[in-house]
Amino acid sequence: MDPMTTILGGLGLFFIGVKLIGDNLKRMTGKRFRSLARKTTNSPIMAAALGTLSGALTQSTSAVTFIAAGLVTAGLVEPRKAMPLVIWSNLGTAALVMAATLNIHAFILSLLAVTGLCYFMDLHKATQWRALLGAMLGLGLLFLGLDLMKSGTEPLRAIAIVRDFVTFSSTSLFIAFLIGALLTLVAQSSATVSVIAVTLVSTGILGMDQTVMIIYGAGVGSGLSVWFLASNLTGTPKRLINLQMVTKMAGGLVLVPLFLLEKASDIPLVLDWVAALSPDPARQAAWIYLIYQISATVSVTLLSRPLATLIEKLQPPNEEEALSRPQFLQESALQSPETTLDLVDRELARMVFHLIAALDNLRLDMAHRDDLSHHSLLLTATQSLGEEIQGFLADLTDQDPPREAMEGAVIAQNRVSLLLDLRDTIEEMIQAVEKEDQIAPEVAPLAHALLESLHLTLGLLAEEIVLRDPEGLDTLVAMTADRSDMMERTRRSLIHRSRQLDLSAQELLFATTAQFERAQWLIHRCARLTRGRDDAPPIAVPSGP
Amino acid sequence: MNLLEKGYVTMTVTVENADGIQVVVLEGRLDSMNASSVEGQLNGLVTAEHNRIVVDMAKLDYISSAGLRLILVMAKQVKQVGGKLVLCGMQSHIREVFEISGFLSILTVVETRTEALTSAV
Repeated sequence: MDPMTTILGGLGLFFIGVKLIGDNLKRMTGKRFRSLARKTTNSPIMAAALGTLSGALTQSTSAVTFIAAGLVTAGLVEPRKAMPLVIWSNLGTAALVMAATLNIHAFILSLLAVTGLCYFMDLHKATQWRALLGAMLGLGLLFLGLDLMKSGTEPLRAIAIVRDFVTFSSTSLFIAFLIGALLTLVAQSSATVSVIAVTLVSTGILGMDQTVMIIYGAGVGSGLSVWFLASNLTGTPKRLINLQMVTKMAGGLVLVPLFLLEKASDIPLVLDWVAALSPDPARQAAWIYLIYQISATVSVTLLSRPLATLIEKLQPPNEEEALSRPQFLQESALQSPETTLDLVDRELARMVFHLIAALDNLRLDMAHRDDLSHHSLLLTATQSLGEEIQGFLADLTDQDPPREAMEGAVIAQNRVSLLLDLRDTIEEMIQAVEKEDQIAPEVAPLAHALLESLHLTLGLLAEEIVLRDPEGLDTLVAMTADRSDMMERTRRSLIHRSRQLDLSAQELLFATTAQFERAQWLIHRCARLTRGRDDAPPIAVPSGP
Repeated sequence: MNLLEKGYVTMTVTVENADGIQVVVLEGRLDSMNASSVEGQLNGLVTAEHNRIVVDMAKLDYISSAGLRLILVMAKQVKQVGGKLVLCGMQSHIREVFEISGFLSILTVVETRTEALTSAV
């Protein structure tokens, strides 16, 4: 058979194998990984161990990094605690490269035989076996592909043009480095490219120096690949991406100069060391890959504190994150339930400030401002912040605090629910009136009056949540008392005055007034609940968004 | 958009004295652009001696939440010194804003300045 066809066929099987292993292991471990990551990131050693294991299982540092970034985005893990997970996943990827040098031909064929039998018995259709059988099939195909490539490359050495090409490329180590980086950008995995290089060096197609530079190039290319994949990410999750990129680059920064020094000066360094470990070029190349990952992982781990500070400075939280995250609630606050409730009040006030800012987008009074945050961003942030506060209050009540604190926590939970309902109502109201040009001129003044009124009562609510001035709360309760008769009169009056009001304008009129009424009722309820806990001294008003 | 449209120069505040009652005449637009300036002008107006205030809004064309809040602050100050605040002369659309905001249930609002002066005594 034509050697090139054999190599390409082997390469195809290898790629299918890599994909099958990664996809199926991710499916098997996804949920468990998330739960494990939450638990283990409190200990840097456990997080590093989990990172190494997940790197070995998924053979994709990108996958581990993106899952970790997802956990950070969801607020389940702090970015700094996720760092060991991301850094040490690199070490795990060495498992495949090391395994590729072992003679496990008989094991792989046996594995394929068992897997094939299971497929024949339709076990792959059962949910509980599907992912495992997929991963087993992937592993079998991957090593079968490598075998095919080996058998295809051996005859190539005899072909003059191949010999000439290898001789040419061996004259420029830079080209080998570039090839490693570019192939990794395409394959999205330095381990994949390195396994191919290990296979080619074992058959003599590649020289040792070229293979080393391809592996180093693959490491750097892998860093670029993660960075390209995450180009749409911003804020805190991007910090982990940047960290992964730095980790991958760090291996190159340490080892490429050492390699060049060793070649130029004959000082025995890494090449000499791996030659002592094994006479087999394939094993030497696999050791090189492992050394690259160790260098990267260890150097970045040693520098992790200043590196984290630098990355945090370069990658501040984005606007939505800053608005969504609690500013005052920290886990340590749970140790003092009374203080926690004051801090919860500050966060509740922030929720209201977000809603005020969302309304600002539509108010004529703010038409001159060009620095407003978009209302959709503010409404999303209000939702997230509310959910964070709910989670915090749930943690507080789980601790079985003193009765007074428990009552305060339950009232606070009710107020969060009211504010989340208020957020939904305001969103509906904004959607109804945001298309200024579609509002009938007869309805527009009333719509703006409703916005101004709601803006005022929201402002008073935010103020009173933190000040808890009984007189101010009584005023707010009185202002937001049931005025459905008045609203009905206003609607009738407008319809009476504007006899030409078409159906859509009438719909808008009914929708906005009904939403306004609901919003005022929710503010009223929230003010009454706030009035319920006015025994504590007032606290400083936080600045608005 | 020029300064007039932006509302920078469209608010005038005049304070008159009518038999010991302070009459604040608001003219133009009372919004976030000028509310703090108006608040500054009215600072010190309400005292224990001068605690009867009438706010004449006949020439007030627009009021935003910032303006409403200013009126609320003034009402609080008057209450603290045991005085009386009366609002009068509102155009129908301004009255609608006050009614929607729930101010009519917590403040004294009358039609004319004469009524207001009588009510403030």
